Amino acid sequence: MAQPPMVLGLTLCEEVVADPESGHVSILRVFNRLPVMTFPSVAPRFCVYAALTDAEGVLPLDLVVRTGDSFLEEVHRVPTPVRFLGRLIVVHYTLRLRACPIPEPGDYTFTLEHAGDWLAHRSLEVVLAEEEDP
Amino acid sequence: MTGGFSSANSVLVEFDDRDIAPSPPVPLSDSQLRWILSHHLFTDSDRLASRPDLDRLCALAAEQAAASEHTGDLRGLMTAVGNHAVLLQAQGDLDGPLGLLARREAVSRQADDEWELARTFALQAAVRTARGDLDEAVRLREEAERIHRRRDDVEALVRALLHRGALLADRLGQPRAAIPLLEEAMRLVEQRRLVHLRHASRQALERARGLLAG
Repeated sequence: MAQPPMVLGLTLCEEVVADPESGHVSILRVFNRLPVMTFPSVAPRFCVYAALTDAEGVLPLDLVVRTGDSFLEEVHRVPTPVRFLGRLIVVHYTLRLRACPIPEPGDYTFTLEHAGDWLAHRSLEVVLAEEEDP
Repeated sequence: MTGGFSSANSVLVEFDDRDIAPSPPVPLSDSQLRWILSHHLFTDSDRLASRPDLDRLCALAAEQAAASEHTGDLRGLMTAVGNHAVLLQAQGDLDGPLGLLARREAVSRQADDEWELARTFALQAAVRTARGDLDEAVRLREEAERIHRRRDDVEALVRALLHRGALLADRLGQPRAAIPLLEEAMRLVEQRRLVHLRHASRQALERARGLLAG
């Protein structure tokens, strides 16, 4: 079986901006709490970013969102096959989420998986937007 | 993949979930469940009650507790034992959890871990509430509050005040005793800008005031 990549961090942010000329990648407005207007709903658009390395070939990675008090309830799974061009190459993995269901306020985990192995997690607290200060 | 660039030593790959057919949920494997059971403490037995795999989860939690004890992993032990208790409660067992939580309390004290001790009190209070031992539940919530005050853990304190206030107002018919607690919770929410707790705090206080007004 192919070796899974090393994940150098998994980040939730509002936007990832790439400059093809310089090769720079900017991760903008990182957050760990998301205000949502109503429940159930679809999350406002945001990005999952991870730097991946130390793998070769095309690997089927899934980004999986779970919730519930126990994190046992899967609410969204996005298959994202990634091609690795060499072990020393860093892949700037960016997934824009626009269709992620948010059934209720509470804690969510975002997990990058490969063939059932969990590579990295990130948690997110979803709150009712009217609770936030204007 | 929707776009990207490559340079000498890096590649950008971009995806958009609107362009990808979502995959159906995949059941968690035993090893994934073991990881969850020893790293993440469940707190809501009602939420778990409808799961068809409670027997399997209980067995795995017990296995994880034994494994953590064997390796001296006190944190993993506390989490697995706590989860086993919550899972038993979800199955309607209100005796088994008390023994497990007494063990969790002892391990929390052994580890000198006040945060986990306060969480144990909260789990014990939930079981006592389900058993109808409401005075004991109130006492346990108060114990948790003391720890949160000592640690200056304001968010946890607000949650504990809300729990004790709800017990007093809704279950014991003592809204007059609950109101000062809920007012303190509301004050802390505003002072510390705990905006995510504002709605629940306001709702609990208004409810208690309504009960008092008759």
